[in-house]
Amino acid sequence: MRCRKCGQKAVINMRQHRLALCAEHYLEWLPQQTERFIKKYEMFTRYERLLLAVSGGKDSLALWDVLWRLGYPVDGLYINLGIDNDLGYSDLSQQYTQQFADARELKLISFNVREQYGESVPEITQRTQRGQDKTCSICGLVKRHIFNQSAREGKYDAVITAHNLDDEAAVLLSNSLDWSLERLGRGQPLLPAGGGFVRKAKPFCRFYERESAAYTLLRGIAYIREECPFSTGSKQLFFKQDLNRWEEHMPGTKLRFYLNYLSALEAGAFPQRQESAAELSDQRCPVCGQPTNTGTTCAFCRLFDK
Amino acid sequence: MTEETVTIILKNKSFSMRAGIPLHKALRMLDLPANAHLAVRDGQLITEDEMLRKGDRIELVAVISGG
Repeated sequence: MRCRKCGQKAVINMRQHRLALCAEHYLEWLPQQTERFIKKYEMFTRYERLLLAVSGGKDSLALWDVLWRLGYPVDGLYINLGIDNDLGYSDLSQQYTQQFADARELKLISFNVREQYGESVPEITQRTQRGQDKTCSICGLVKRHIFNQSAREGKYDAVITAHNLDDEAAVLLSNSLDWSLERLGRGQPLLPAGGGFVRKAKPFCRFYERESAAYTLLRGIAYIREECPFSTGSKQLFFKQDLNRWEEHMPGTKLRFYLNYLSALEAGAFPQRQESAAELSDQRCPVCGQPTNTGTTCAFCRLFDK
Repeated sequence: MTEETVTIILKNKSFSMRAGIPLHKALRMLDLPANAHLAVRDGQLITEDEMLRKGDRIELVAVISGG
C-alpha cells in the first residue's frame, strides 16, 4: 500500500477515510486535522490558559505532543489515583508523564489523591457503598472534580481531554441503549463554561484510537501500555470491542455513528448541557464550593462523609 | 519456528503462523480485529496488506484501552 501524497510505502491505512499515508505525511496529517477540529468547534485559542488532563497513556501524551508542536501553550495535570497493583500502575504512568514533560520543558502539575484526601481511589471504592464493584465510576467522579477544581484555582480558560472517537462512540452506544437523554445531551466536542464548570474540549474526538496510537509510536513517545487493572471487564471495553467488530465489516461505522449523532445534537434532538448548567448556576457545594445539582453536599464530597 | 513461518507477538503471547499470507489474513486467523491493533516489523509500522515473510517477527500493539 502506498502513501496517497507521495507514493512511498504507507505505514497506516485509514479505511474510513480511504486514506493511506507514509510516516512523514501521517505525522503532518494528524496535527493538521487536530487544528482543523479545534477551529471547527471553536475549542480554544493560542492566547488562552489551557490545562490538559494527562494519564501517561497514548492518547493524552499524543495530544500534548500535537498541541506542543502546533504552538498551543498547554500545561499538564496528572492525577495519581493510587492504583498500586504489582506493576505500581499509577506511579509508573506518572513517570511516563513526567519524562514526557521534562523532555519538552512543559509544565506538569501532579495531584496525588492519597496525599490530598488520605485514601487512594481503590481504597475509597472499597470503603463506600457507592463504589462496590464500581471503581471506574468513582475514578471518573474523582477525576472530573479535580480537573474542574484545579482549572478554576489555576485560572485556566479550558480543560482539555484526549478522548478519542472510540471513547465517544462507546459512551454514545451505552447512553443510546439506556435512552439516557440527559447524558446524550452532553456529547459535544466542546462543553462551554457555565454554572461553575470550566470549558471542556476534546480535540481528538474525531480520531480513531488506532490513529493516536500510531502517532505515538511514530513519534517515539514512551507511554504506559499496560491497562488499568480495574478496566478488565469494563462496560466501555465491551462496547469498544463490539464497535470494532462492526467496523471490521463496515469501515466508517464508528465515524458515521459519532458524526451523525453530533448532527442530531446540533439539530436539537437532545437537551443540551448548557440548560443543565443554567439550572446549576446558583447551587454550590457547601464543602468545596463546586457546582452541584442537589443543592447540598456534592457527590465528590459525600465520598468522604465518613 | 521454522524458516517457513512467522512469529506474531501480542503482549506476552507468541503465535507461529505460516509465511506468505497478508497481515490481515493472519489477524483474522487469530480472531483479532485489524482496527484494534497496529503491527510493527523491524521497528516499522506496517499496513494490513503487507505480506508476511518467512522469519518475520511481528509485534502487535493492542490499541483499545479504557475503563
